[in-house]
Amino acid sequence: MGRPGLVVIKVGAGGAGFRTLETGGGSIASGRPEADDRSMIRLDQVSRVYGTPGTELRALADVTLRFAPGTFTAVMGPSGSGKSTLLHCAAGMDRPTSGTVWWGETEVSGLPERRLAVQRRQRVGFVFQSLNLIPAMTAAQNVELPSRLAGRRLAGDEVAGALAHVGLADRAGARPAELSGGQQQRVAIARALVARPDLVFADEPTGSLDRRTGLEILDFLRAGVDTLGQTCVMVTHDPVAAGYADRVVVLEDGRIVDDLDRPSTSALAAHLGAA
Amino acid sequence: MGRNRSRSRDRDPRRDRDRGRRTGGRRETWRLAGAQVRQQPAAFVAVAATTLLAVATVTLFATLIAGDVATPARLKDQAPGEDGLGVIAGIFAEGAIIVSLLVMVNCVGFAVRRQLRELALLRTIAATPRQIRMLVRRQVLTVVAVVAPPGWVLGWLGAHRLLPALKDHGYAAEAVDVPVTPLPLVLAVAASAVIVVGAAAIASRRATRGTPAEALADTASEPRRVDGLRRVLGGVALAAVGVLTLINLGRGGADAADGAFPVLLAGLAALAVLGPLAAGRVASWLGAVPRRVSPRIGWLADAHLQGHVRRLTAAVIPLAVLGALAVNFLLIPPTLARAGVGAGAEASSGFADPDENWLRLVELAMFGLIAGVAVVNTLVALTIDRRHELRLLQLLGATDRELLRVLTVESALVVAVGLVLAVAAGGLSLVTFSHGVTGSPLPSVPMARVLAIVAAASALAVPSVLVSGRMTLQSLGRSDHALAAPATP
Repeated sequence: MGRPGLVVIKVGAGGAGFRTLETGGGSIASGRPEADDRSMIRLDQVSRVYGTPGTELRALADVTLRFAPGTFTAVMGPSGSGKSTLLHCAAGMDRPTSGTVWWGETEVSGLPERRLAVQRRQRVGFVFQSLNLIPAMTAAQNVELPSRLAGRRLAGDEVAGALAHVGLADRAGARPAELSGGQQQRVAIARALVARPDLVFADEPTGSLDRRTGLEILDFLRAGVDTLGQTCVMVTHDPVAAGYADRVVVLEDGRIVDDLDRPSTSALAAHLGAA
Repeated sequence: MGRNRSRSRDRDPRRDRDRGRRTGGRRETWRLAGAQVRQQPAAFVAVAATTLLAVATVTLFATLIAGDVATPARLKDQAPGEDGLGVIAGIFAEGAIIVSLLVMVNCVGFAVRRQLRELALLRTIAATPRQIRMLVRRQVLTVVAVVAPPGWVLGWLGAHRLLPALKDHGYAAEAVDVPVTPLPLVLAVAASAVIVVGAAAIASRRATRGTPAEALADTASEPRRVDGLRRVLGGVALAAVGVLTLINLGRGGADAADGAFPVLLAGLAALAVLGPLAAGRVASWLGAVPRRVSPRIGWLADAHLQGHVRRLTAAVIPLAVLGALAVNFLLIPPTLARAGVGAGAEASSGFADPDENWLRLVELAMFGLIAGVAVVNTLVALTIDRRHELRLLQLLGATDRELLRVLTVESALVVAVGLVLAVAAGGLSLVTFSHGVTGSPLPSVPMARVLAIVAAASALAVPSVLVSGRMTLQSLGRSDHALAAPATP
């Protein structure tokens, strides 16, 4: 994983650099490292039911999906359609009530909680909609926290590099309360990407941000897919954000109602409007 | 799966640096534990204070018992009372230790629950449930380690002060001395450690059980559903209260007097387990009063209280524990006095003895100190927490004077809820006592004593809220950034 990515992480100094990379992007595929099966995500007849018998809520109903290695997929749908549940199940954050979830050859839905956590910290980066930084820690500490929990210490320049990559080189010592919403989300991106995970999940990563910052965040996710061969799954309700993806999966009432390959933003907007 | 794991290791270029990965993860939990404690200074001060008192209490009584054991029996024969020091210290210790541990458990739960959100967040960035448990365990064990030496000194000094007084009142032989032995300290530290670790594990359950997504959802709001464990324990405690009450109602005289204490203990246990649930109900009943009386201030105070009931229980429960003890200790003597007039002979049960009354007042003072520290600390922590909310109310046009009045009404409601629960938890033991010694289940309730209890509870709660509230409002007035940075105290 991540051989060419090393270069990008160190060199990239902010959103602008990646914007060029993305918009100049006819040749993206040529620079992409060959992705192996490890970074494939597979959901097999996954159902997730919340609540107790009688008051149960079926968030996901028999969803079967495959996310190819090195691709960027957007999951869309109205609120309550099961988007976030799908993401949580795929990311090993939640357990399907029935069905299986696979990362490469590992069946993650069957792992006990501790081993699942170990797998996640080795292989997964997760970006939330809300600002999920630990308030007591500085930006740099937040970035290195997952690795440290894994008992591994990142080199100082890896953390600095990850923060520089998201344009926060000078805010390493700031605590979340001293950062703007956009800056906090960029720290969260740096935290998700610093360990160069195979799989990146994002739950409405631009939901609480202004448009410009939101686009920067999407650039970071896109760049991870293109240069590091990461498999990225993102939940969003924003057609513009979905336009960054290779594929758009549309959910409704816990079922897949559409699976679109590289739709244009306008086509997508029209499509969702019709749905 | 195993194959997969080994593959992932091969692929990881940083694998070489992974030596000592276990210790690295450990060090991180230490660091996180410290960082979290610094985020909750007031809550952990409460844990430290109550743990200090718990260690001191256990040390004190264990020292007295050790002193009794170390004194040769022939010297003790000269003791005027029927019971030796060991028995007195044992009975006394039972109550004091139970109260101090109960209050300590309550404070640990409070401090841990305040971090649940962050703990669940740690789960989402791949901390294992075990690491979370380790983190909270380290926090509370560090507190025990820090307060153990001063707690021991305090307990030892307490033993030196109490022993002569016990001798004066005839509860100890002149020959008994305060021994120098590490045993009480070891016992006190071990008991405190075991109990805080257990309390922390239970309090952190919502962040450690289930998947990270479930932990995040469970900690996002105050729990709606009743925990299964709480339900079971609550059922057991209530059953114990019922059985012990029935047994004691069947007894008479001195036997009923002796049997009242177990009823009280069972009531306190039920209070500890079910109190947080009952507090919500009681608060919504009592809240109707200020809501009606004052549609502005009272309405605001009531609305607040309903929203924070679960958090306020951390202050309500110690208050109720103290109230339940006070109800018994202060209303038993007048009930007995009535028995003395009416039935005559029962006065021999010892409760009318001035020495016995002295002992009970010492006990009550001690309980008051322990529970009082918990109440004050918790209320101060909760009030400081609300700076963001108070700032919002200021922006919406509330004056500081109005906000202080809201806080006053709220703290009065906290006192009222605490006292209602106190009567619920402590009332039955008093009834069985009264039934046993006077034949009537209705104890004597002199107004002066009731007012004393209400005044004492108010004196603990209201000033703590008002002083910390006033300081918070003043600091808000000085800072323009209160809204920008609610997380930094």
